Amino acid sequence: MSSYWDRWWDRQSNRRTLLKGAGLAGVGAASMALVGCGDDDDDGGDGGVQLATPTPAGQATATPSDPFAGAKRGGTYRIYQTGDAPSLDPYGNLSFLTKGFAAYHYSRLYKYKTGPGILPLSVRPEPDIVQTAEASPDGTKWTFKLRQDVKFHNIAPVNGRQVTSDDVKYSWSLLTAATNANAAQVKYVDKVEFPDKQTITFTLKGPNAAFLDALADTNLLFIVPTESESQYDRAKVTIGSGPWILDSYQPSVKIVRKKNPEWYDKNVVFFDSIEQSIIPEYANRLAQFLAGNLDLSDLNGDDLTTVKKQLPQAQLTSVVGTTLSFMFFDPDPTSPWKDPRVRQAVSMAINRDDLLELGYNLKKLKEAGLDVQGPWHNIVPAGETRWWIDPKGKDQGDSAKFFKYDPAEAKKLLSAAGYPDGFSTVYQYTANRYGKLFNDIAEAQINYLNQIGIKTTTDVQDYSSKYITQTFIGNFKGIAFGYETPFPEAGSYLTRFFTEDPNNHSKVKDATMTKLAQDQAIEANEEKRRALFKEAQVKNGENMFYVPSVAGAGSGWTGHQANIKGAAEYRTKGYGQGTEDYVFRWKA
Amino acid sequence: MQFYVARRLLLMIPTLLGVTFIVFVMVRAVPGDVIDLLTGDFGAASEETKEALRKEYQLDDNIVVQYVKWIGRVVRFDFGNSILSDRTVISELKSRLPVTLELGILAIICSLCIALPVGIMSAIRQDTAWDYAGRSFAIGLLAIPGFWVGIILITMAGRYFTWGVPPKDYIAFTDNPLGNLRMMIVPSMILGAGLSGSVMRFTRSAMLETLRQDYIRTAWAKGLRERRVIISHALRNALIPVVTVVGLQLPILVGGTVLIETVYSIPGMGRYYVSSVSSLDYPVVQAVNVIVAVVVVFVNLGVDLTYSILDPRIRYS
Repeated sequence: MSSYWDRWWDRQSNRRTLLKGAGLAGVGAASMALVGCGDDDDDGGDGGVQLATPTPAGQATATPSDPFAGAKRGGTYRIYQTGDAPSLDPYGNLSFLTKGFAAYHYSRLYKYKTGPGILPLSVRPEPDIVQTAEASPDGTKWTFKLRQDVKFHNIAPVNGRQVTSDDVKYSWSLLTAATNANAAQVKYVDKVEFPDKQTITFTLKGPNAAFLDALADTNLLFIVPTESESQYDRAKVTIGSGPWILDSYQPSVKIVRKKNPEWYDKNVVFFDSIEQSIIPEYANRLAQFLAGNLDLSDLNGDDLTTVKKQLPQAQLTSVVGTTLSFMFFDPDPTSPWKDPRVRQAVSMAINRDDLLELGYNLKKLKEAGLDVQGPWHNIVPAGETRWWIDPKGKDQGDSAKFFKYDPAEAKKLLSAAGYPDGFSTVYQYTANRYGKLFNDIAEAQINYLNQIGIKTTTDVQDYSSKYITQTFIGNFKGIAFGYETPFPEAGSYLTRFFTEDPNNHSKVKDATMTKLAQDQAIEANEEKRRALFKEAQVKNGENMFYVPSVAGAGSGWTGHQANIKGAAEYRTKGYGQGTEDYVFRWKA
Repeated sequence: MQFYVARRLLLMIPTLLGVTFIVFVMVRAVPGDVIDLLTGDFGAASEETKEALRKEYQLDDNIVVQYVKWIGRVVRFDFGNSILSDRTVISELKSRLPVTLELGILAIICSLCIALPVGIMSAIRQDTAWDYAGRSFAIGLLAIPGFWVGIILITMAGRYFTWGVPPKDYIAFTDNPLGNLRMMIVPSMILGAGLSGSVMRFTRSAMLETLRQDYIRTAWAKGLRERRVIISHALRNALIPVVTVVGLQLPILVGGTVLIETVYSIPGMGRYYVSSVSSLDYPVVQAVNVIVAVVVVFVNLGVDLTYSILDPRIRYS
């Protein structure tokens, strides 16, 4: 049998052998030997990061065998953040701003491996402070040994001591506390034991395909020191073991971080410091980037040609989105939406290509010579290329017809469902959270619905007081449009949409879909899991329990100043840039 | 005078209590609550988790008990901790309030610098090209949203004159007064321009009314110079309604800072307020409202007292 876990363990064992053999090479080489642990051959990745040997600037050029040749140490990386972290305590808030902040300073057991040839959305878990991992043959018991060379920042009262399993134990208790809303994400863990200072054993209730992803997930387990229980307040003092030490934080102004000289991987972390300015307004960020005050900025598609013209040497990188937009229906059993033909009609009413053009200016950007893409979302976001199937492709089978724009056929379906003259309903979305692109597409969809006879009254909702607290959890009448949480692991989409998850927006209860969602979560074999994903996407296409749209499916753009190196090669997903991207970048 | 001030100060107590109660109730009347927001998006939190959080943040008491507990702390200048950040609200406000005050004061100065000359000129050159231009200018300033002007200016600066891009990070006055001025001048002018429209129109109408008074005619008859008549005799009396308008604009100014602080990355109270409202962080929303209410009632008292300075015939008893 060649299960995913078996192959994973084979690779792990091989690399441990390599590690033993490389003992004389010291900690740095050892750590790099482990870097490829999470890699897999089927993602088109390069199979792992090679030796990191920074050399003085100008003396060497990066090569596949030495991506850091010519890397220059020093300087300040000037980046931005859109708002303040609601809490500096990694367990104090669920906001991505809190989790993103924590990812600079706190280690995790695993992190995501980035590097040349690895697409941001194909990243796989690799050890962070874990030295070795062993899994039982059935994948339900995992034993991790911690690295010996991981120390907390040298700040009182922790004073640079070594990270031990006691810290992991305490951190785990915070993650699974009754008041932690994320505790539900690791309910599949039966127990965790800490036999000695370096060892942690997780026993799962059953195999879980996303277990290592959960350990790498920046929403979940950050390792905080036990001292933070009683000797200081994590909301006020930041002491982790990550690559960056918090130097200063001026709320709503900027965060300054200094390189952690004691970080376990001494081959990387090239910048001396990172200055993260808090700039909520996009126009201001763009102006700062154009004026050369920021080393990177997010860019709207509309501004790409301007940036290219004004800063011809700037590096523009893009990534296909993982932010899934979709229409969902009220769960009332007497509503028209209970008939699958009505839901199919909704899907066929919208012209996805035109919506993409509206949102992303694809033609204009292609004419300007930019490599832009415009795939359609399935019930899995288009950016999740390992699991996504193209709704226009042959894998979608007959249900591909329900994704095609065909208002005439949509009207026939409505008629067949008993609504020859259409019907009236409420169309709801929030316009004060997701930005112009989302709002444009949300508005355009109204016209498409009206064209097939679905007469809508529009309810533009406040995000906080109504959308996220009512509509998003299924308390609404009519049809709604929104974004799904960008989950770090693709299986979470199916779990949310088709199981008893409190945020199953349309309260879909379909035995087939529930089983598919549950089966993929425990399927260890990647090929089999992929087949389950495919089947789930086909079944959703046939029934349109949720109607995927295209907001979030186009390319998201980032601009980097010309002298920033490693920006295109080291890109992660999620909020872990501080550890997974920025430690590999430098300024030429 | 002292009796009048004391009476006004005492009257502030029920006013402020009323404001605090209304704000306290309204922020909780919004569908959903801060706990839903804390757990509603990513977290698949159970009702038990939500209840535990409500208990932790003392949101499980009935609303009257919560209010009494909160107001008991407020009178001791304890606004509690932010539910989101766990930082004390007072510590956040301590650093942010001066920034917003500075922005507000600069905006009022800019507003008066624009409104008074234009308003006076429109009045003394009534129904001339000056007057029409001044009135159109005022309407224009009223009609154009300040945040839009801010975004356009920043965008233009980024594209055409990068020297005009505002500093990336806020510069405190105490660190670098000139740098601070460079940071604050454009947003102050934008805010001030927005306020100046109505001040200009009030100045014009008050001046027109004053210029028709007998004592002005007497001043002209005495052969006084125009500057003397306008500045010394007319303007001082015309300023009473203008001062009232400036005082009443304070809440509008606070609203304006909310957006302009976001556009220009100024770490003031307005920006803090916006993020707190959108996340229903009750302690912060309540605290900011209390402070704004206190400032507004004190400014109103100040405006009333200013009348007696501008017009010695006014006496308070």
